[in-house]
Amino acid sequence: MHSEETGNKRMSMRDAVQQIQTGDSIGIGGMTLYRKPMAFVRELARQQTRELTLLGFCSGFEAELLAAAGSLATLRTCYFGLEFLGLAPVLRKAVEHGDVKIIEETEYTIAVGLQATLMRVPYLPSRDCEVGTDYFRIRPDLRRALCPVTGDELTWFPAVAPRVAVIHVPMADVHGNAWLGGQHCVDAQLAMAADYTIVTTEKIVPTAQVQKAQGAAGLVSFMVDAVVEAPGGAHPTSCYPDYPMDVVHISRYLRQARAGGVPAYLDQYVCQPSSQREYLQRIAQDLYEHT
Amino acid sequence: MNTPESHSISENMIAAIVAIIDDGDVLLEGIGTFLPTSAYMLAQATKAPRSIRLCPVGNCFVPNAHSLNLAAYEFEALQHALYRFTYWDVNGSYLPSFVTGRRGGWKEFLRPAQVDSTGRTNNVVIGSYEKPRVRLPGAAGLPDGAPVEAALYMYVPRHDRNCFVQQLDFVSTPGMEEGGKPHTIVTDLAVMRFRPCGVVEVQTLMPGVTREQIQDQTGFDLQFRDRLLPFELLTAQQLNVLRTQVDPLALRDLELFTGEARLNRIEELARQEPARAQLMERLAELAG
Repeated sequence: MHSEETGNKRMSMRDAVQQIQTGDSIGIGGMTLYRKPMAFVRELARQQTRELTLLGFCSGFEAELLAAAGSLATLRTCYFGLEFLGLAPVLRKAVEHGDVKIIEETEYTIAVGLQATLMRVPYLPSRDCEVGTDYFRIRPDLRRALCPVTGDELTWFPAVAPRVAVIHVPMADVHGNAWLGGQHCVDAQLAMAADYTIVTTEKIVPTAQVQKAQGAAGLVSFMVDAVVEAPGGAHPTSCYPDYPMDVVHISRYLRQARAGGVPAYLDQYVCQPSSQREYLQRIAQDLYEHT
Repeated sequence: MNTPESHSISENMIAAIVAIIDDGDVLLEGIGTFLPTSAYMLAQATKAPRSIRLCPVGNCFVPNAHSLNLAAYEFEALQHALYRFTYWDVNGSYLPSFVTGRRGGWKEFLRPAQVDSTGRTNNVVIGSYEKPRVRLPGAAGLPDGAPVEAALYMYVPRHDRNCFVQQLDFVSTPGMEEGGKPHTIVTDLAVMRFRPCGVVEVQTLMPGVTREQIQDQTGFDLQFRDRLLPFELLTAQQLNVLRTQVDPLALRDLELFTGEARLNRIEELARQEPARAQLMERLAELAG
């Protein structure tokens, strides 16, 4: 479907996920339980993509699900958990048992590291970040060193970038011009730093509609390589302004996980639904049954 | 009636946090930290109308109080935001000058999993880093900001020896010996000040708490202010604003609970929220 001539980057979810190889590194847009590309993540798990490295600004339900599906090898993050709902149970156990390796990040090692990539420099400095902490011990690539020009002692953040970025948005056109809604996180940096950027969107709209939604940061077509329509694609995380977080769904998952029911959850919500539409029908049925 | 018995533990912690806030402060929220967030909003609605909250959910500055909720706090914050920034706008461009004091009045209350008597904190692991006994969520942006902040505030909803320890398992923010500036910590038992040379001084005891009890629940020796300051309850008016406007669902109490009780409470509240109806309507529409 992708046409160089028309600049139409529309792609099926299946084809977009097949851009990801075993052992790939993926930067995930959004934050913890906000605007996570969950439909994409479920398809990754369905296709049994393995040995993934995830780079997440704040990792949440998407990292939990990929750990549960056995797809996750390494997580680069400064926080992983389910916010007020608690710890991410499967992921936490996997990290404690050494099944998933954590590369300990901070907000700055990710945001300043991405900025260094965008500026095409190996390191960017800051004043006294991380001084007096144990981060220099566990991250030898994070450096405390003298500025070669002034002699000031500074903290130096190494450049970082995933190969692929995956970002869910409320609306985008077929060229990849995308509106991020309200919660921008580090998504524009991520899109620009990655070699290949996939946008999943609640709806594909004419360019004029993206222009009308101005007043907030977004993604521009040159930052984006593939556009996938995925209505409800952030569920159970939120997608402002379309829908809030599904607190009850995540809470029910946590109960199920405590009772050893993670395989049943994966079967019900990841393996059985063969499409995002079937997944949404399953969720609609839940809402009817559990309210 | 505004008697000590009619105030909950979380409301007393909120009273202590509100007392520390000055009008005009910029107040940094954490994520899912309803207790200090409700204190910030209560301050905005009462004694600190010129204070602005920085919400990490949305990277936005919010100049007034609104209501806390579970599923759509992001929506509330964004709808009240002055501007909607990117992370880099706020944290790359503005914060370094903010926290190093070019434009002061910055306050943040962090919740440590462990804290020692010099004010070092740990939110990363219990046990060794390489083979953790308990892996915690991580310290997010705290190690970036804490070393350069002019004063660091903390809160602990469950004051015990698991939290107040002699030695940390991992240092994610520095204490006084490394140049950090830990200032005050508010717990369910007391308000305490960090002093030089590893001294933590109790300033005020919460209602009904004794010196013996707080020492018993702390893993290092405490000192007590020569004359303890009396604890000041929220006024009847503040309590009313907190309970009816800022936090009608009493999310401030969630940080005091753990395990099954906590999940039950969350689910019960989530089902009652107006945001739930919005979610259901939208999902039903999408499912066709």
